[in-house]
Amino acid sequence: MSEPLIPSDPSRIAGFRLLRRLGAGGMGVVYLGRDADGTLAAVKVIRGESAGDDEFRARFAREAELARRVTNRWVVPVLGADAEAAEPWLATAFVPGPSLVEAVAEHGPLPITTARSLGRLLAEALVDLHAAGLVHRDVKPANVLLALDGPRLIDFGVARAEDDIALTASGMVVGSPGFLSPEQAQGHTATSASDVFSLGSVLAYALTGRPPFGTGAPEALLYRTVHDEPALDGIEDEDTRALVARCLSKEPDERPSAEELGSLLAEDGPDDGLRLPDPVARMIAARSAEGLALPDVEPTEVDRSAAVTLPAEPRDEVPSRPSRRRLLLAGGGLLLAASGAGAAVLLASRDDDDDKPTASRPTYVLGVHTSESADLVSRVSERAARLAVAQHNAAPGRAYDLKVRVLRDKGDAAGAQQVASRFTADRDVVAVLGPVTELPMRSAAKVYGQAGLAHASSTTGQQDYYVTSPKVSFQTGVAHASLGAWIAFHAQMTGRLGRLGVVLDRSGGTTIQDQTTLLVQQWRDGFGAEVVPRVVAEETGDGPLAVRELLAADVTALAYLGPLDATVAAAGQLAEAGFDGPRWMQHLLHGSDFPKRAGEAGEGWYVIDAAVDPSALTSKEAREFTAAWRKRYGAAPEPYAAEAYDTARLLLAEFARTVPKRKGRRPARAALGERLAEAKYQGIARTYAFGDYHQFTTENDGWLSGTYIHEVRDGRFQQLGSLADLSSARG
Amino acid sequence: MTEWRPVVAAVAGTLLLAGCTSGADGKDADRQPTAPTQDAKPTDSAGTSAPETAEEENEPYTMAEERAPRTRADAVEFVRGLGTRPDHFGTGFRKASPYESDPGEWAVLDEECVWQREPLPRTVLASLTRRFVLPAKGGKGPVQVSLTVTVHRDTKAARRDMAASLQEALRCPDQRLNATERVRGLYSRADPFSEGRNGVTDDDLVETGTYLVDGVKGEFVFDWFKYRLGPVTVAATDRVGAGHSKEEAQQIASDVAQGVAHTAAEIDGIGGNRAPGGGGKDSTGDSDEKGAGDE
Repeated sequence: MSEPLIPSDPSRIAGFRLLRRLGAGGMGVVYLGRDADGTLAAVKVIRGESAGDDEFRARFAREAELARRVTNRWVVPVLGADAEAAEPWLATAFVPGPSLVEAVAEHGPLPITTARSLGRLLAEALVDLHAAGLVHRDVKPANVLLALDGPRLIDFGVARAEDDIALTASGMVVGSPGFLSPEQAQGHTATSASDVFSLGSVLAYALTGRPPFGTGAPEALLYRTVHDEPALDGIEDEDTRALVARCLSKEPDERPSAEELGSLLAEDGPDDGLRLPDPVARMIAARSAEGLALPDVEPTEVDRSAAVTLPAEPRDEVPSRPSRRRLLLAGGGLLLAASGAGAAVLLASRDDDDDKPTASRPTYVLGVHTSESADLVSRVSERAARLAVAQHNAAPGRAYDLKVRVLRDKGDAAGAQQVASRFTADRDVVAVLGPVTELPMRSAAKVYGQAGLAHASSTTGQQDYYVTSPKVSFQTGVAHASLGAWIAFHAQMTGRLGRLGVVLDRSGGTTIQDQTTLLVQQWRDGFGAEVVPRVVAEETGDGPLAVRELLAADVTALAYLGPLDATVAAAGQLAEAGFDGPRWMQHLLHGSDFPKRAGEAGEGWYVIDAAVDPSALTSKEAREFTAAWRKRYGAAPEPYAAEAYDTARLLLAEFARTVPKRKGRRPARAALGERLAEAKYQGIARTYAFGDYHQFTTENDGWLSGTYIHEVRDGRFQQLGSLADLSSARG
Repeated sequence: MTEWRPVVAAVAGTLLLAGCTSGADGKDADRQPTAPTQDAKPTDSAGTSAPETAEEENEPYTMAEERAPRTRADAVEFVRGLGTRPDHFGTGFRKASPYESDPGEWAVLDEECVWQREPLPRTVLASLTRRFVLPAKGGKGPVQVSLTVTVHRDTKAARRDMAASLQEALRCPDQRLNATERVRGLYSRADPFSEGRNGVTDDDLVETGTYLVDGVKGEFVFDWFKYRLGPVTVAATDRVGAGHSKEEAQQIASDVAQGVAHTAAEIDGIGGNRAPGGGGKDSTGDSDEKGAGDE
């Protein structure tokens, strides 16, 4: 299906890293590429004469622009194009499915209903292309790729020379005789009616397995296209045969428009997607898996048990989805693994009613997406979910039971997406708590977003996820950036706004950068005090140098925002220098080994965090939660436990409202995201609501009472109180 | 106390926006809404979740230390040999005059937050700035772009240079570019490729601010992109003149980011990442003005 790159191939085109060659021809080469988001693309690069032809470039630019506006589901979307590049290129979404040629060659002609649906969807595709001012010019079976939900028309108009399919001086034909219209065969310009002619030929091919003007030498085909009647005897259905014959009229004016063709084909058929014969569906699945077996893909962990026990997909996810036999795949990660391991893809019938709960009460699953790289937040998330679920299951008369399923990634993007794929493939998973760290959050959100599975992360504070998942991804953690500013408020409220030395140690990741920027802005521009910033490059070990410089600059307060090791080192350095001003660390070190590691030098360091220590609160909610946690886990709640618990409860409370009253009906996944966006939830110590980017947001002074000062005392973090407490104490 | 809160909220939004426009695929984020892609994709897991699983296989544009120029002479030849063209930054751009700087100097932000040209320090082998301009046209002021490629002695030195750039924005949110031009309210962030925030090189720094010209009324847009590829840094600024709408300014920023990515890709090619002579596709120096005037 594809070939490796050869040495003269570029490794990238614009934002696309090139992976394979999909094909090459007179105009250039088509590559399989991947963009920064991991989206696969077919990147067509124009080489040779056309690349140097100004007229070609101008048309290329115009048509690429038009094509970008076409958003038809059955037309492969344009991801990018550059007509000005040395070698103009056009990128479209990559469709791993087989072409109609391959499907028919391997499994024979399509059944009449399938072929008519296919024709109708392709007609729809042409309607939109034509409306956009484009003519495809080369509709043929090889340009129709099959996906499970329907066809994708590829290689339209753009990136093809105007005279691409006309007779050349040498009598050779570039293009696809046998499907092109008589007017094109005669060297005239293609119109929308030409596309309809070609679509008629494609339909004939799909129904009979043969092009309507036969096969053979190109010249003979072109001659027959212009002069002979098409051979349509193989089309048994009389109406369809007459309709195809109309499409194949020699006179463009006598052919139906794409719109008319579409509605004629829709007349008897149900208005749903494509019903593919099982062997063809299986072929598509196999091809999809093959398409994924790209070079340099690391072997992934295979969860064989999951592969065989996979339940059917919930049908309520997408109400309009056609009921048909469909492939059941366990999400990208598993699929990849399965193809690598040679495991078969599972075919499941969707015709049976698989919605019936087996017990008198259905069981739904709360997923917990954690990371091996983040012990503390992973542990508390799991514990919080288990506690919340246990409390639900203890209620008599409940309508359903809940279960917890925990999956861990390794803190990396690919692993996080695999975890998300496994959760989304499990129809019983109704909501997910997590991911717990930034990179998994922003990469897995896309997978959750595509599957419509709502999830909320209580320990992350960057909002990138919203860009790829604007409907179902939520964050109940406070923005890291804000927490930087709160350091300045703490200093201001305690009368210690002096000359601040602040170290941004880049080894600590971008969360620290967010914090530093806001801390500096608030301290200097907000309060008018002085700041001496130092940015330490990653992997240089320059931290101690920065601290020395700040001490030499006579700072009176110091924030070292960096990873644990470097912060511990800074504590030692400052203690040795006898520095007695206030000192802050970044909030992600709250709950870390800092007190133990830094020892005496760590005493008195502050961390400003939104994570509450509920055992230090006196409210009824806090006392009850602390008691329940102690009872179950034998210790007071760790940092981040209360927020994880709140988040699990919030997810479950809103989920409860999406469960249909009628027995046997499954809740729709998408409904939970919609509810969450509007939700307002009273947690243990704060009220949860979501902002424009589905981030945690507070009203009025909520942030004051929800931000806590923790100080390292006696070798551990101790909560001194909230900023609101400080404010009122001062007031 | 609450009067400061909006500052924070606003920045939270900024982070997000920066997240989707930084880097070379800012183009995708801006021009190509994701909607068509999503519409076209089936919602079944088979079709959609697959490609992302391999996301981590992505590699940044980079330059291996051992492939980078080691001497000042090699470094000067390297920066001069790069085939950056005016139309890399958009249609209609031309070489400005003067076009190239002295590769033995670079710009340094002094104690008073004023940019000065100074001889290169020991840690830098060569630094070349090329200037491009989209001439004023139809009531829209000129867009000035400058592209600086700097070869550092080693990767560590380049890392320190990136850190210094971040530090400068923190130290001097208001900077004087030259006798008549200033920038105000600079906001910067840098994303290492490893954090998966749409970066295209080892480390992508994006800075935005308000651009002011003495004697000209109004506030304009200033963007700075600075990418690190091993020991090499590629930086570009754009200064958008009067008369451009916000959307146009955003488009310009996106195009300039693309232009930087072009150069980054060329350096990546020279750095031995797969394509031998990878610079070939962009290195036809004599076609410099070709894109100018095309519409």
